[in-house]
Amino acid sequence: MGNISHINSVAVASVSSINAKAYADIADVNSGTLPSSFADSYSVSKSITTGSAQAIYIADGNGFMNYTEDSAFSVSFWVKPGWNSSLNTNIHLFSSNETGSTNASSNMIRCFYHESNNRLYWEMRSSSSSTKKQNFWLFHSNSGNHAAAFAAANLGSSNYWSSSNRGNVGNDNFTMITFTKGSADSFANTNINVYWNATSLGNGHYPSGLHQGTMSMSASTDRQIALGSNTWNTYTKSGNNAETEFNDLTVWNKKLSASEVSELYNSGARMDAKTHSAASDLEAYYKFENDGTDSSGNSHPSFVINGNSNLTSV
Amino acid sequence: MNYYIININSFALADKSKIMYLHKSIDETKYIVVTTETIDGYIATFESAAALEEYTKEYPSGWVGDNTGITQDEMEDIKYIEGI
Repeated sequence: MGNISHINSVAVASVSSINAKAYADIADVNSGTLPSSFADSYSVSKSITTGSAQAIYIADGNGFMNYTEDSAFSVSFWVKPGWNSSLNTNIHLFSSNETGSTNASSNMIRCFYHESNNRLYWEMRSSSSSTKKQNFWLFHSNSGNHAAAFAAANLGSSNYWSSSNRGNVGNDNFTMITFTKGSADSFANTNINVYWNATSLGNGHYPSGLHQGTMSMSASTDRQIALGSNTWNTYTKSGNNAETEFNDLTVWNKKLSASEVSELYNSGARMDAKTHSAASDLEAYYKFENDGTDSSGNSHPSFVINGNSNLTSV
Repeated sequence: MNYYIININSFALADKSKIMYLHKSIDETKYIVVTTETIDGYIATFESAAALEEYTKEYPSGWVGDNTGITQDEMEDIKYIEGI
């Protein structure tokens, strides 16, 4: 029997007890296995310091992250902001582009927080800045299609996301950011979703997405990947000297459903994604416990963690 | 396209519908504006996005907190939307 994701339509992440028995004390139900958390001792940190010798990166994904505009996939990671409220620029949380390329637009996928405008962006580009798909979620406006993001992040109407205002957080002041995309060639709200601690940020600013040009991303070109910086410009746009921490990066070969994202969030306690009900679609899994190795079983390259980027006690 | 550094008063008079990109200084006293409008009362003007990028890389203090400047890519990517 496989893993249990729901009990009487309630996500197990939301179940605290069954017949007065604490969830943590239940090992399994009729030989099904309950999703488990694990002793999460380390995260990985990235400072402003630039260059590959200071980054968290994979120089060649070796076939990993070769998604295109037609791919259904999901990316999820935990982040604990270290940047301050006057950074006034982009902060890259996740990025990938063509291996070895300094062209930001070459088969690029990225998530960045634009601190100047309090917007969280997800974007894909094919070959130039005029062939892209993008949408963003705004956190300080409690009106219209921004209200859901305002409520989910709980950053308030005047203070932006920073180390002094982390909003709604899970365990250890980390927030789980999750992006899910369907197979349509679109960043419309019907095809993509972004979650803050498993709560949907609602509709992106552009109902149909911001689309420019005709996308033709390569499904075979290898990708370089980074956490906490861009991959194409000496690993910059990282935040500032107070290090931002990242944890538990997972990449999935499907558009995770809202309930599957909730299961992954696991009430704020980082879970062992290998026990997730969608684990058969788990493409890559980086726990950053003792190193940057992939725990998915797919033998993807390890993240290099260099210089001022460190494994850090949670 | 026109590339300016302007003050608050000039920004107040600017045609917001023609602004493509806006970046406030950290102290919010000066604004970098990319616009199709011709603005007379500017602090500085630049011939191109490349020239503006170069300026912010040379003098990042006051504009960005990570000393990286503002890239052309950012100017193209972050659309100004009046009211938010």
